[in-house]
Amino acid sequence: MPSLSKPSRRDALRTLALSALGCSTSPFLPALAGTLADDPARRRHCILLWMTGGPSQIDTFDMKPGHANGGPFKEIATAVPGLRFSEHLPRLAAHAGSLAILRGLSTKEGDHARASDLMHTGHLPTGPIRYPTMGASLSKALARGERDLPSFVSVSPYLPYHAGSPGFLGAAHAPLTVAAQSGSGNRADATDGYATLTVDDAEPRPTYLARQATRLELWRTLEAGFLAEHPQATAPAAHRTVYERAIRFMTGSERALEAFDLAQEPDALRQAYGRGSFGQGCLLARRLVERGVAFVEVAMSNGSRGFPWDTHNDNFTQVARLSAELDAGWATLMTDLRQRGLLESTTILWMGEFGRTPVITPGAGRDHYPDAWSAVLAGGGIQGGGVHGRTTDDGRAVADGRIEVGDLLATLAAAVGVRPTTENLSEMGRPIKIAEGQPVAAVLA
Amino acid sequence: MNRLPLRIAVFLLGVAAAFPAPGDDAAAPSMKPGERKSPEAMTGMKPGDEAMTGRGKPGAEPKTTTQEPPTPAPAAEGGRRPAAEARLDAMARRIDALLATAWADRGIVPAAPATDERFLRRVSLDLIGRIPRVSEIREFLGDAAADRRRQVVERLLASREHADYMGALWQGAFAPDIDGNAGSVVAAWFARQFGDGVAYDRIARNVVLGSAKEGRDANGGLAIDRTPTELAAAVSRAFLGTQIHCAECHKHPTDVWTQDDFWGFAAFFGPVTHPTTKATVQPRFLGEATAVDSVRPAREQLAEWLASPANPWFARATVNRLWGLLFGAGIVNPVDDLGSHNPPAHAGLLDELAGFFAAGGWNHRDVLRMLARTRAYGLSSGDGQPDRLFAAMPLEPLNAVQLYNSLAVAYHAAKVSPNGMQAAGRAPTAEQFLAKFRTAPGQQREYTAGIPQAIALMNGQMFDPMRVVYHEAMIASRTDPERIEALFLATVSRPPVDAELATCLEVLGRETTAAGRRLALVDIHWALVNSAEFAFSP
Repeated sequence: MPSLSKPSRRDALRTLALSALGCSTSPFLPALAGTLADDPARRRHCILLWMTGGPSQIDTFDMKPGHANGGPFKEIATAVPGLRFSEHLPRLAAHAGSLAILRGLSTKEGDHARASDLMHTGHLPTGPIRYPTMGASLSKALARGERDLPSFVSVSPYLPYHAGSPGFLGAAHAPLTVAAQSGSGNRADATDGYATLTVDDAEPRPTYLARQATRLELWRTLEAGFLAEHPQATAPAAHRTVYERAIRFMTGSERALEAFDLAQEPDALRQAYGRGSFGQGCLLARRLVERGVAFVEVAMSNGSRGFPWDTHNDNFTQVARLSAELDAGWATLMTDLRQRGLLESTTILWMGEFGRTPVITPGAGRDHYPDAWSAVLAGGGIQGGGVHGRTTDDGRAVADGRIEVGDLLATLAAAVGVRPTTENLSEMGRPIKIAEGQPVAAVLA
Repeated sequence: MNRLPLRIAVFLLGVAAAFPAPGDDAAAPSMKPGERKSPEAMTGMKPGDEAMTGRGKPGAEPKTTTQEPPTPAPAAEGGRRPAAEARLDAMARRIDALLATAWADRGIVPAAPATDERFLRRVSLDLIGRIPRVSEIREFLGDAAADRRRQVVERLLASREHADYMGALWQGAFAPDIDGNAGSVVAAWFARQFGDGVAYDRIARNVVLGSAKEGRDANGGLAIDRTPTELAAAVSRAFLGTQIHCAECHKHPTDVWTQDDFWGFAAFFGPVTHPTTKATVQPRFLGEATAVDSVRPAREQLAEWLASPANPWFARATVNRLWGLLFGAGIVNPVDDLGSHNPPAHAGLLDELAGFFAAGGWNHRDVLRMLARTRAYGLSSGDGQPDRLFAAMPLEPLNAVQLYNSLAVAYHAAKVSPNGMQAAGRAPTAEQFLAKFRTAPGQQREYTAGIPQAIALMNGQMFDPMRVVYHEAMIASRTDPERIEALFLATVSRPPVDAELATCLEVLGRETTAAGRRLALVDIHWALVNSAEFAFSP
């Protein structure tokens, strides 16, 4: 961890507990989080809404009306008195009571690839350890037994960044990846169909699809022969178990792959989520959480082509459009989870690699800005309806309630009932905590 | 690209430039005149040959081995001195005798010997990190020579692929955390050392001194972005097989290492302050009570101490690692956790091997060729029961590098592109493949893959399956049994047994068109590639 002044953070927390949060707070007790984690009846989930490119905080959750840096967007009131969002997030504003806005995030990396690693793992990719992403470590901690669905699913990731890497946790904790087909269906306002989400490698090429039965017949003969030759070996038996699970997953006989069939959802609901890959990805996240998947990452991305939130030029046109997509997908997800009784057991984290510069560039754009930016937590384990942290009037610095990436990830872990100090062993045999920071007590329910 | 890879590149290139080429006497103290020609002499490759390891081109190569066939067995091998051969044979017999006694004492009945096909598959995976090609299997099985196993070991050890695979393994031991291009630079550096026939004590010395050299270069900054404590942990793990870094923060819970041991060792790699006493720590060797002298550079003294008789760890750790490479588990397991808390499965065996390695001039190939000659290495996996004091070969899942390279062999891909086969927009790169399939530390003997990996192998588009049908091994086949045999050899390295042949013939017989028959052949290949037998080393 970069140096972090502990006394000042404690001071900030004390101040915050007294003032900034509009509702009652309970002090964070590690023992409580541990108790929750140990309760087998309580299955917890996590959804990471990842804004590839780095979303503009000033044009979403940390508005600066009246300041030159504020830009043209207007504020709107939310369900929480005194809490205001951008005018382009009207539906999310209705859910403000379930959201905790963290306006004091401050990190130290402004490069997309490195910051993506930093925010996903809590560490820059320079140290002597190949850190796992939170998706890998939290799904490992939250998974309950063998299932026909993997415990970590990553939707529409920007592939070159390995955003779901299991790091030293190894292959067993790698995500199942779901590709989003881009095109006209990838825009929130598209009217010609939905974005298509497809599990990577879920099916063979069409030529071979018809031959599945023959293939499996041959495979079972060969597999049985090798296992019969080595009846005492456990590892080859594990191979058969994994393949049988994968075959059930593929062939749908156990309805595992059915989880990914969004056509089973009512058209009105699909439209409410938004037709693009993000909206449909949020819908998929709900379906997966419903079926017990521990961690789902939904990236708002352009597949492997680029970063939608990287608004160096023409920021306001783009952010307005992106916000509409975000608003539809996320707000509908909140409603949907709540109606199914899943919101209190599902923690949502919204963030990107970094924020964007308060100063508006000549091209009406905003550049990378890790110094002072925002993330949002919602749902299970989160004390909604409040704001933690404050930036200066010009948005250039954190004035109060500064947190770093470790604190944010520790808060996420605590919210899903996993002790942030839970350790896994690295390649070098060193015990590594899931998150190095201090949970932000004030936003934990 | 972050800073680390570049710095490691600088470090390793610096090391490579700073030390004499292998032809120089200084770099090959172990090779007595006439004892044995160095590998580059045998293969005809020059030490500076860029193609040998891809050295010096960060980003040019993935850290997997390349797919050229191994260099043919060198004629020079016949010139090895009889005394040297006799020494290897005697040690191999000695190992078998030690094991036979231990098995008898414990009532263990060893497994039957492995078939030639399984031996070839195993030794290819162990020494060059991939399964054998169809042509290599046929050549081996058609060889009437009584010592064909011995000859194939020589051929594999002399190959560039062996050096490359050793490079990948030693990168995993020394810098397991480094990915991608930076990792391939580290792997290429080790591969060049092994390929050039640098004696193992020199390799360790080059690692220790190379980082010191860069550290003295004020303008270049540190050799790598690693602290003294991180370097101490890496060197002690990779070259001493010890986990002293656990003592960084507290006394080792089970082993003898104390905080003083750890910090004394870390002090060789830079100035460190003791966390408790706050005093500047003086460098001292592991297990020694007093600090090294302050006259000569500490790192020099460390380099000398590593392979000296005063250090009990270096030889044991290395032979244990080489043993683990061939036998699937170390005599001490895990191979990097030696110490009184983790006794060897056979202490006498470990000690004698260590003596053999040191007395033979730290020649890693001699250890491997000797171990490969033992009867124990030639045993089958039996019924698969694990951990019976090497009385049967454990079935080991292929590691990610072996799997990647073996898939390329099974699909007859000439060379795996770092960008995959580009059949589909989402085909994984070598780096992505390794990231997805790499096993966590301590789980190398378990099958840890899950649904994502299984469906990638079943449905992924890394390779064009039709390559299988149009490969020369298939075209040269005149009958269906021959075609099926070619598919089995390409994947599981053996011909089918009768029942398997019958099943495959039945599937082929259902097809009435040429296109249908092609697809059926691809189906058989698919089933083989996805079988447990493909995923394991026998």
